Amino acid sequence: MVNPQVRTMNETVIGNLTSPDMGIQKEAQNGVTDYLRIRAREDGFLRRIQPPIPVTPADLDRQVDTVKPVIVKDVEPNTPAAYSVPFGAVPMNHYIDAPRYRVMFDRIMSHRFIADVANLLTYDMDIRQIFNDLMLKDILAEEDRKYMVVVNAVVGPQNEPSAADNPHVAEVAAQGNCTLGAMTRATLAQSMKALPSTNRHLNPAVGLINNITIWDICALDRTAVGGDLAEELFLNGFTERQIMGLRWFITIKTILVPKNVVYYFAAPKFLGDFYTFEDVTVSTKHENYLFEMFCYEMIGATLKNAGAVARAAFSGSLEQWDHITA
Amino acid sequence: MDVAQNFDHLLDPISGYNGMHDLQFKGPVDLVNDSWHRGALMFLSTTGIIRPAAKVIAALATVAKHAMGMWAINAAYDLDVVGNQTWPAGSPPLYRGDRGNISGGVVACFPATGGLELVTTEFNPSATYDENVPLVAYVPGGGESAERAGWMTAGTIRASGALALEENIVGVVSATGPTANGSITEVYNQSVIRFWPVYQPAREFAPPGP
Repeated sequence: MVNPQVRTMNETVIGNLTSPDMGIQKEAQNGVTDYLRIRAREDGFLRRIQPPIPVTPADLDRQVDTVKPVIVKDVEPNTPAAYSVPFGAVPMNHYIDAPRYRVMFDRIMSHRFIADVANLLTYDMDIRQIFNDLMLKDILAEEDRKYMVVVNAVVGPQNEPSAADNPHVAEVAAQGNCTLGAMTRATLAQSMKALPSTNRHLNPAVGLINNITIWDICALDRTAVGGDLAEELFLNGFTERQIMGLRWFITIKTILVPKNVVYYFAAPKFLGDFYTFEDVTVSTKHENYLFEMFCYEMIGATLKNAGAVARAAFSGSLEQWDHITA
Repeated sequence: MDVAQNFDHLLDPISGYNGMHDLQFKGPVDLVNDSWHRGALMFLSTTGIIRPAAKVIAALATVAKHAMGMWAINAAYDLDVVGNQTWPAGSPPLYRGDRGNISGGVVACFPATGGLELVTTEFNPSATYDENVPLVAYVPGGGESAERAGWMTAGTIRASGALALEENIVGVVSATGPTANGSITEVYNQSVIRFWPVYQPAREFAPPGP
């Protein structure tokens, strides 16, 4: 049976949504929340690994070969090594320059959701607000998916030491994707060597793990993690905390972060970029008795440092990060 | 891959309804194996990848015989398409190229089901395009550039005037220009052909008996 109070609220929500007054539109977010949840959803982890920076048209760079918006970034320069000379010697020249690259933008959007207002009024829950939340989470999930495609490309093939076959090895003189054996305190520590093993010597700042594999850390006993922590993990499970000096982000997106895998990321300033030109925007339209809405955003993000990301698989046999060949 | 854009290739819906949310078909692409200009003829692969038509013909000609034609609104090298790609061995370091961007990986197309009239730069200039000439996928020979896999060419018309049933016809020429091959010169000197999309899949030209 339709709850008359909720129906009134839905009427109010729909009425407010179509108001030209932005203040009144905000009231549309207040509604009822009593409904059966069947699936856990989460916000995006990309926005935690690489916090977004809003940009404006003034930040965009024009290109002569395209009308697409881009931002051109400089890369920290490198210098040839200093050298010892006898007295009377003069220095060799090296031209001052630095590489640069483009941050490209594209758009992520939700589907467009359409309904007859008469049907919306019959729901006990605030279905518009719920769809609004789902659209937002779907957009954040697409950000994460696209980011992990690039992450998996950058870390290179698993246990491939050859620079000829593994671009990660060729660029940073270490593997970026290794198996380490089952999770123990020792293999966890081994995994932490991934980023420092490259010729860029970065330290990981963040570990990304799924909500299944995290229980393997909880399973580490007193011998492995010490008395108080072992007891705390046993009683309360894993809450977000620092382990081995890292922040750990736990995700339920097991398609993107598989079981027995941990991704390590350096601090954002070493990692790449994340610009939001238009952050997530909800477009709503109410025409006669039809209501429609969709979400969109325009973002540009990169992972531009192969030495700032690694993938550790707690399976197989132990492979050393610095095991490389020509 | 360091990408480059250009304005020499285009696809314009010059008539017909082109609502922002209508008709466009969007799907993933294979940027490792494919390259195409704006306006290229594309087919869906059996795994749902939008590829230049000749690439689908080369992979599985039986499917290409009844594939729905569609024309790419974006080029493979457009900056909102080219990202989101693999990073093969031997490529320049990440910081030197456009790799590492999370953008792209998807192309939008106008499918041949649409009530549109289109112009495109992606056609075989060696063929002749008269009004009502059927358009089919062009199959490039060895040594031709990869982008020609998205070209169209004139289909076969029998001496009787009937069309060849063994060809997957994706369009019909609607108007021609005063050039030798019937193409039209656009405002920035691009050569285009003007056509209506149609969907007429190849059929058995010698149907089995009852």
